[in-house]
Amino acid sequence: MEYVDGEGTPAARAGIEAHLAACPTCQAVAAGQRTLSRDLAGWRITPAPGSLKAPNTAAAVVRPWWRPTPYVMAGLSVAAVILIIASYQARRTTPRSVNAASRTMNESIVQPAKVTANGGLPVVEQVAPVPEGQNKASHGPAVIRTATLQIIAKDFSQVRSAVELILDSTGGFADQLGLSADPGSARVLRGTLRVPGTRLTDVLARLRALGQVAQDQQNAQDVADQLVDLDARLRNARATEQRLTDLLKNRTGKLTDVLEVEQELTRVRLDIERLDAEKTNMNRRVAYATIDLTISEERKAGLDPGPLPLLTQLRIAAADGLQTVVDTTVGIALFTLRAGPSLLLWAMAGVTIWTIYKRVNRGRAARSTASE
Amino acid sequence: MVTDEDLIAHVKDGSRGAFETLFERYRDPIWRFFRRRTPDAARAEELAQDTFVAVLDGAKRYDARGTFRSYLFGIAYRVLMADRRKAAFRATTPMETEPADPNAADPDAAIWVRHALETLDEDDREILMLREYEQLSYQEIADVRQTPLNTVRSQLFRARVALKAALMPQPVRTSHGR
Repeated sequence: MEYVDGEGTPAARAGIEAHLAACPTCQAVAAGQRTLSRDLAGWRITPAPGSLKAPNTAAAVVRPWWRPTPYVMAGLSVAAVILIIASYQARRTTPRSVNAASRTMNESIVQPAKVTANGGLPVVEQVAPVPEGQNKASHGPAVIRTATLQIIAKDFSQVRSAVELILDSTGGFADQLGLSADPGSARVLRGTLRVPGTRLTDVLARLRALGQVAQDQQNAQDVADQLVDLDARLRNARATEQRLTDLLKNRTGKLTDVLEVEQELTRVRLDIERLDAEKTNMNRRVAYATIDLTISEERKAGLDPGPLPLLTQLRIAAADGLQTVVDTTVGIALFTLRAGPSLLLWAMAGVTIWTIYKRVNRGRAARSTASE
Repeated sequence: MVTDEDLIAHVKDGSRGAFETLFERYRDPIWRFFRRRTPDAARAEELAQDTFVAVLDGAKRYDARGTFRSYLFGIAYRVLMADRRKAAFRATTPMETEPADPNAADPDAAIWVRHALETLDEDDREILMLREYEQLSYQEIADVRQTPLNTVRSQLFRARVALKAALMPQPVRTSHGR
């Protein structure tokens, strides 16, 4: 075989030639190998294309660093769709976080309420109508504010009067205010206060001065969109009412038609009343912030009721443990249901990107290998 | 005639003309090397280009331990292997989709040979092709594949026996070919 391939030293080749001359079997083998080579030569390749030119430098070869395959393109498309959906969902689900300190009450929507002399519910003045064509974006913020305040007071006897004084001076009122003084326990003043939103900061500051603050929390909810929607629905309902009223004034049809119009008018007026009430309620909540106030008496606040019986402690611990298990299970289930599909899609996108990254690296490594 | 080794030595010294001479000398052999092993002509051209770029880049580090041919085809072989690894998911045997040369004297013969080569073990096939098509010597094949010389001998012998067996039923294959 080596002889036919032209291999071997001259001496070895001379020896093989001498042997071949006398050996028909080896002649047949050599002929067979030559035939095989001729058969293989039947597979011819066209000459190199003219575009294959000598490169100037490595940098002269301009070629895309990455050749996207259908699989990669599909992966990228899926990733793009996931990103679009995720961003859209994020925009939809992001709560309107309102910084209570940075927002101011929208005076153009709701005027501060007047407190009646007898301490009854304040009357909210008429809301300024939203001009026609005004969209939600141009509607200022309307924030419902709530606060929770727990205070431990030194001089409890003066607390209630101090709270009432604060309410009077700021135009607020107490939705409810009660004092509990069980024997052997601290006296506690609990109440729900309503104060003008613009005075909330002032009221909270004055309440904090009554003692040591144990809890201080504020929340805010922007309801500007709901107010704009309510305004629009009210305008539409009133326009419908006006049209129906005009129809009744100029009635020319049958009695049944007139009755139908009156029924429709009644329904529309009920809608208007309901929307009005809803709006008034929302405006009141916007106009008046709510404070959940708890003031405890200091000297009783720190009393230790003593250790619980062992059985009770075990029962409480068992109940707490069980509750923790339930809460954890529910939490895991909720998280899985909420985030599971998204995580799965992100994982797919991540795997796709990782695969691309690996292939790119492998391609670079291969080129560097080639260059070595 | 200036030898390949002299030319690459000039290239190492920065001679552009020497490189172009080498390129013209091996343009077609390298093209055929890739074209026979790559289903896509454009890809084959890119790989051939990559090979010459690698030669140009590596000329400064060239060490004349073997022939330039073995050096050049060694680079081409590594470029080919790297490309196959990169495109492993395509998993197509190069010869499956390569068209027969329409200008060949007998296109059927080319198809028949390709079919027979496909039946060989990949290593055996590569060694046989390096010998038959690239006309490399046993030592050059050993250098390209970085295997012992005796391994080349035994694999080449095995490949020829297997190919001969695969080519035996020629009339049947050509009459029922693709």
